[in-house]
Amino acid sequence: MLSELKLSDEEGRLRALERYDVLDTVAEVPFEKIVALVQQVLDVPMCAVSLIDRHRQWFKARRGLDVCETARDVSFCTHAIKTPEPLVVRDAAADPRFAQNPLVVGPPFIRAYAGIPLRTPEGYNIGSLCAIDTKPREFPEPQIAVLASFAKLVVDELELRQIASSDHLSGALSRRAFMAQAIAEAERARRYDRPLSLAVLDIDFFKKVNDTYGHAAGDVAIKRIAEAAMAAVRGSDAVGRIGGEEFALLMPETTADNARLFAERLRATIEGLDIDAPPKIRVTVSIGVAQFDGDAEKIEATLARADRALYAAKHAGRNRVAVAETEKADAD
Amino acid sequence: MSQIAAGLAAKTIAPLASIQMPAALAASILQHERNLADLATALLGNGCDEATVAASLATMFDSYRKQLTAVIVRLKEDADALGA
Repeated sequence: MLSELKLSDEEGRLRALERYDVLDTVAEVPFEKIVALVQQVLDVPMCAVSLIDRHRQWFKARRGLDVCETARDVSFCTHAIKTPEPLVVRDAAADPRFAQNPLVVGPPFIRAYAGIPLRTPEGYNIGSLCAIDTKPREFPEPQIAVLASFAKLVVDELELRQIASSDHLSGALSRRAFMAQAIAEAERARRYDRPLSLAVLDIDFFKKVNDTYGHAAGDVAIKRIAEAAMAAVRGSDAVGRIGGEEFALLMPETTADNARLFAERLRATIEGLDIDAPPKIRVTVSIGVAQFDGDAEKIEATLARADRALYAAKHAGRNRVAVAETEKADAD
Repeated sequence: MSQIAAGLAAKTIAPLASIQMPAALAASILQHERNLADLATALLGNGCDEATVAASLATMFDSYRKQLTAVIVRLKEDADALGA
């Protein structure tokens, strides 16, 4: 079921777009087929799957357009995502919003436009599927209905890729998707000299949970803990299931001290959870935290340090948080 | 949605009926069938004949199915990596 449309939450919209991890990717057949069919059915010279990034529109697929992106402030699709309804411009030269637009007075000389917002299941308009003509024209309702149907198929394709990134039991990212995001965040942290921390969380005595209450109960515990972690993190953070009962948290713009405080709150939250296995059970977790050292290591090494801190927490009695030493201190 | 549109969509995705699908994908497939039926309705309403509509749906479904196969393989690999 679709959630309520969120038109004013720009940061949430950008995070929703980021989660699809589709910007600046190569051309893909499903999207190419969609724009080809739209072009044919609506008889337009130009058509695109446009995704609206913070400062640009980027085309995942395009027909009749020479560029792969434009500035956001000149894009018609920026207007399309601000409304729940299709945006239809019959004659851009006669529309005060667009008459002086460089894409109207110059190449590709847009005169007519129809754009359907690409709405995610959470209710964010991340872009639009648009049909463009170089002469004024109407887009009758049956054509808008066709365009709207193709727009839903664009979102289907994006969602399908998203499923591949998720762990089906917990709903957290898969290990592969988590590491891909961690590597990207590490690169960003290194480039802009920003803090980045990782935490590794492991359920204490999980084998005992399985042995005592059965594997179904263990699965419920995994699910509830993942839900607690995902509810606790910020939108810019990520949670991945990286082992059977082991999760990792990625926290951009976070020092080890702040990551430790967050991990401590999460540990306490999980300790207080009534997990309806059934029966109602309680579990605890141990957490290891490490801050990425951009100059000295790869993010995989940070994860290994967080993992060592986790085992230090286990060794110290479980149900606690431990912070990793830096690589240098480890070596000393 | 017309019966014709629903029938065309159901016929298009029929090859998936015999495949054991991970639960995570079942909802996606149902959604896709609904969206294909919507597309069929819209194309018929736009004056396309049934053969053209069926061909368009087949084109759309063909690429979805290829991606679906890749996702199933990936989910299995990820599950195997977790020892599930």
